[in-house]
Amino acid sequence: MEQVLVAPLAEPSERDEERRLLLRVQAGDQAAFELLVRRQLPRARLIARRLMQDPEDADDLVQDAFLRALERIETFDPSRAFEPWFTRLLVNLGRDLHRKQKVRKSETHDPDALPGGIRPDREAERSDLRRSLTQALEALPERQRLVVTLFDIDGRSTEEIAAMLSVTQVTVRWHLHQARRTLRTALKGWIE
Amino acid sequence: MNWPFHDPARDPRLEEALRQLETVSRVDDAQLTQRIVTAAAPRLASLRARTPRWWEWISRWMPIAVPVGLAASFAAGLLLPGAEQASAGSYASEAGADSALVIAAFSEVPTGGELTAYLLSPEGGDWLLEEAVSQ
Repeated sequence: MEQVLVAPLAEPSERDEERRLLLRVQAGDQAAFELLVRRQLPRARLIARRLMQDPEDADDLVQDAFLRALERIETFDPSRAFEPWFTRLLVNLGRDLHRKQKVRKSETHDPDALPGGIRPDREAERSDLRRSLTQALEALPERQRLVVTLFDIDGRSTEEIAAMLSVTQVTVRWHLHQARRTLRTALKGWIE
Repeated sequence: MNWPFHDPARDPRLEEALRQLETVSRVDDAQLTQRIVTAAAPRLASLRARTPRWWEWISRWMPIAVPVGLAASFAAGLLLPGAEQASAGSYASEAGADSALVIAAFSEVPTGGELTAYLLSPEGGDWLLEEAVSQ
């Protein structure tokens, strides 16, 4: 098998440096925390953006995840890698938030669904496509939605996604396979 | 079934359809970092103000205290002459009698009778035993 199945481990010197940084954060060092946020932010934003449909919600999720991590930082063992721990926290938090939003959305009206608006046919078609796609994405399990959007929108490889989510490459491929099949079925007629 | 072994081919139509849902955040990385750090300030202050708990204090000093304690006790054993003499003397006096007897018995090639006499009748030993052996 030619592919790497697990995420590569960080270099010992990097781990040591991260450990020192985390010890400083545990002691309440603001500069250390800022550095930690700066390092983790691009990756965290990307994952959050794929978990939440709205970019503002995604940013709120990232902020909540960092604050939650700081709340629990005393229980974190700095000799372990921070990234998988933080990613798990972010994904779990995103899942909860997404679930709550679903409930809220089902209680409010979708502006696109309101009758009476006069729109050109093409615009209506695009709107329908958006709605179908949104519904299909919403119906996917979180992990599948995350994987398919990271792969098909962001152009990440399954190896990169596996490293990001701390899972094997085969797991990522399985989620991708399932998600694409569901999306293609849901969007039959639109994208074929 | 090819999916477990290879990445699937890119699908431009699916990508384009998914991209239609994309909206861009108005907040850049620097602004968001600042927002997070500002929101985290009270928690960071409480971490700074926190006094270490007793088990944290112990676990922090344990790796230093244990080797230092061992080294100190070892050094004390070597450097304190009174203790060394007392223990060495008492050992010597206790072990002396038996070991001297055995050394005497095997230091030269004895005859069978001499060896028996060495073992059964040491010098300055029991007079009753000496009498019994001589008879």
